[in-house]
Amino acid sequence: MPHRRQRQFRPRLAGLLLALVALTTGRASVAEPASADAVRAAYLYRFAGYIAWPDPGAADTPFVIDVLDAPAMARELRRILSQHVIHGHTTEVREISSLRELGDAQILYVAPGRAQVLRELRPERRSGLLLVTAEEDGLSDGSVINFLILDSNVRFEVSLAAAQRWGLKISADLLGVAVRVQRGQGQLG
Amino acid sequence: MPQVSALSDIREGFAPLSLPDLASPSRRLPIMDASPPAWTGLTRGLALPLAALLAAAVCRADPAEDLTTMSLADLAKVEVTSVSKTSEALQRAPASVYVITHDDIIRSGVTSVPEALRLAPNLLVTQTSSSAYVIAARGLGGNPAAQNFSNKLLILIDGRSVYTPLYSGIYADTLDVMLEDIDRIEVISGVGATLWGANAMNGVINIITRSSYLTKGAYLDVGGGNQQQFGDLRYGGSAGEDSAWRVYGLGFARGALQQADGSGAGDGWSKGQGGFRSDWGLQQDTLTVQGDFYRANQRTLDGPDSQISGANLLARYQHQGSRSDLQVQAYFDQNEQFGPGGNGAFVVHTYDASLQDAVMLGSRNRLVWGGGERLYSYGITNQTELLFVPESRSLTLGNVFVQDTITLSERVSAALGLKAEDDPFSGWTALPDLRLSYAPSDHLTTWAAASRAIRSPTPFDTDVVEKVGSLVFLQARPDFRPEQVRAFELGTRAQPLESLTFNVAGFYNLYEDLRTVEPASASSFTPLYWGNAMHGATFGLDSWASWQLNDWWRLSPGFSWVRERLKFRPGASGLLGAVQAGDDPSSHATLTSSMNLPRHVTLDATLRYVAALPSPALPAYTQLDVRLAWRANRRTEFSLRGANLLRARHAELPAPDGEQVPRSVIAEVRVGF
Repeated sequence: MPHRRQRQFRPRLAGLLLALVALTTGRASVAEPASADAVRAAYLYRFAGYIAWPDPGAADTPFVIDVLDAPAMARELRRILSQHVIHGHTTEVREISSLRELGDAQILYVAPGRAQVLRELRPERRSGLLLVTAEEDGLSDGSVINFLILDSNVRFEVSLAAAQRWGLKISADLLGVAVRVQRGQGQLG
Repeated sequence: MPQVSALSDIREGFAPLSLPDLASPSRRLPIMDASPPAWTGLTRGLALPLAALLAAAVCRADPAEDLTTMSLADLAKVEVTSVSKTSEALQRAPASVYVITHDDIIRSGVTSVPEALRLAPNLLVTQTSSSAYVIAARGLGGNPAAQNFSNKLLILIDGRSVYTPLYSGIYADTLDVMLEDIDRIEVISGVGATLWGANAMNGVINIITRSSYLTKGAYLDVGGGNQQQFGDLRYGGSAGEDSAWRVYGLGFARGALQQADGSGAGDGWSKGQGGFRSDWGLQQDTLTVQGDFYRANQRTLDGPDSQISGANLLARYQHQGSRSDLQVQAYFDQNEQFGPGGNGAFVVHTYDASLQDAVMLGSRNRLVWGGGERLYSYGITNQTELLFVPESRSLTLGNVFVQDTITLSERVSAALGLKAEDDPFSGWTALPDLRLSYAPSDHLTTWAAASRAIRSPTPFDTDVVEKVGSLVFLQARPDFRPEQVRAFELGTRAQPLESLTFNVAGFYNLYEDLRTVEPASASSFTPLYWGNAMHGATFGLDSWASWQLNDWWRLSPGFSWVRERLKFRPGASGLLGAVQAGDDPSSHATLTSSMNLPRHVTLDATLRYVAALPSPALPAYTQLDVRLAWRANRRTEFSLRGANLLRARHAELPAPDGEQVPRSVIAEVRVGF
């Protein structure tokens, strides 16, 4: 029966507390839930391995990712990419606040809510740009890869039509993981 | 009455391999992820030896490295979360909402839905037998000794209402859902009738499973311990680009609880369940079809076994347009029970169709409107001493509702809602709801609410006849009125530090027409009947916080407190006293610790305290559950869990209505591939 409960458990609780103390004094480094940006940044890095750009660029030029209005994403990308090369190139992450600042980037990441700016972009003037967005109608705004949050996972969808417009070849392995692949029906495709 | 699994629980859902080894401390998310941290873990009471092992295992992991080395498919399984643990939408919701996330469930190691509900600080969950639980929020949780059952909550599984229409309570033994497939459980304390539906008088429990797009592949979960053995198996795949499906099966055997002397209470049970879910479309138009069936066998101490079985099928279509969100849903549900020796059998068929549409009117008004109709059809095989007259009925429950959320300024919004509900015994009732919220910053929301809700009469209130021998002891009357509440709430939710969030809500509820027992007349005591002669107030608060001490340790305290001031109307009998409305503890509290240790080890512990029950009396108790888990690789996780470790056995409700819950231990393996 329920009396005496407290008295009985004191020793065990003390044991648990001791254990906790022992643990906290260790050099525990742990993990924690990822932020969506951290996961998106990791995806971007991995995507590069599954995509062929039309012009690989000179070996001594960096692989450039322009990030439009998403400072947290830029931070994550820098943290990750500081330790990696992409297609043999060093990497550079630039933060921009308008498409006028768009340089010779291979990837353009557009902050959630800003995808409509992509409607101004014309592939005829500048191919080989992977457009990445993170909002509901990203693909209809012209994006090639659009991140979604499905339940609590970061997933992505791909527009093959847009990829074709921008001269990008995307491997089937990447398409296999996409939650949705939009084919054909692009203006040029 | 509610029922469900044993205290001996253990188990867990399983984040298909959401890794605990993620990137650096996460930030607030710019998105709607109602979910949580990626962990899992648990341990047992003997934390010491394990802790020594763990401490020895301390090592370094480079979290940033982990994400970039993951495959695309693995990245897709990473759970993203914010420290605040609430989605942006939730952060602003003008109601006391607690979200039990998938990972909370997995990491706690619970093995059943009722046990998972203990994770919500704003619910009080009381186990009374191996398969029965009482679930209540904000007091008035019923008093089985007075035949008054917890009956003021709405509980939904993927939009399907699962409280029983027979007495408005919850049969906890019908609530099983494969825990791995639960996305989250939203627990709203307070009135939720306007948007959620009937019976949402003191709270709403909304269990939401994952889309089948996210449960592809095979998953196996097996566990065994001194109080239960179980196995869960699921397989999911896709059919074409735009659809996905899963099928699952689960089975368990849960041991009997105990009597005060430690002998078995003879109430062990076992269950088998299977089901499926399929989803078509991902963005604008989606269709979901899902169903389950189950069969369970429950033993009794000295008599023959009883059986329950059930099945359900639900279809839901959603269209997300640029200015409107439409949802149409229909389901069928069957629940059958055969009491010991065939006594007290019943079958309930439920047919439900509903429609809901949300539209933006201009830039400031978001209007949600809709309606629904439900048909209950039941048949009961009467026992000699407890009869329903008539034995079978078909009852309809209809509603129409509208709610307008008005953005008054960037920081202030108001929600005005009105539902009209038509129940079979008392006709149309208006259920208004008014909420004001003020969010001076993204990190602070304060709200005030006033609402009215009812608990509609049920066959138990209007049709029951109880006999003692040939004496008719109680005879319910058809003029039983709905129990009513006018509820007032003031709450605040804040994130004063990046690492700290809290939620506090105070409530003041004015009840009218609560059910009482009245004598037949001044000259004759029997047959008694159910009257509506009690009224009064309850007040109290729900509160909880989440504190991320560092990048690997989170503490989550919760505390609820309630006072009840109920009295009888002049002329009432006063039989059984005001405590018949609820044998409620004045407070209950939890403290959960979640740790991500090195080498993919997680350690989770929950200490919970429930204050004394007044009558029938039960002293306060404190209990501890601990789970230790090790993710051996991306596919496999091993765990050990101890539940109710502080005593050999404890009662949560006094005998004879509650049995003693023994200490239990379980080992478990989860594999996803």
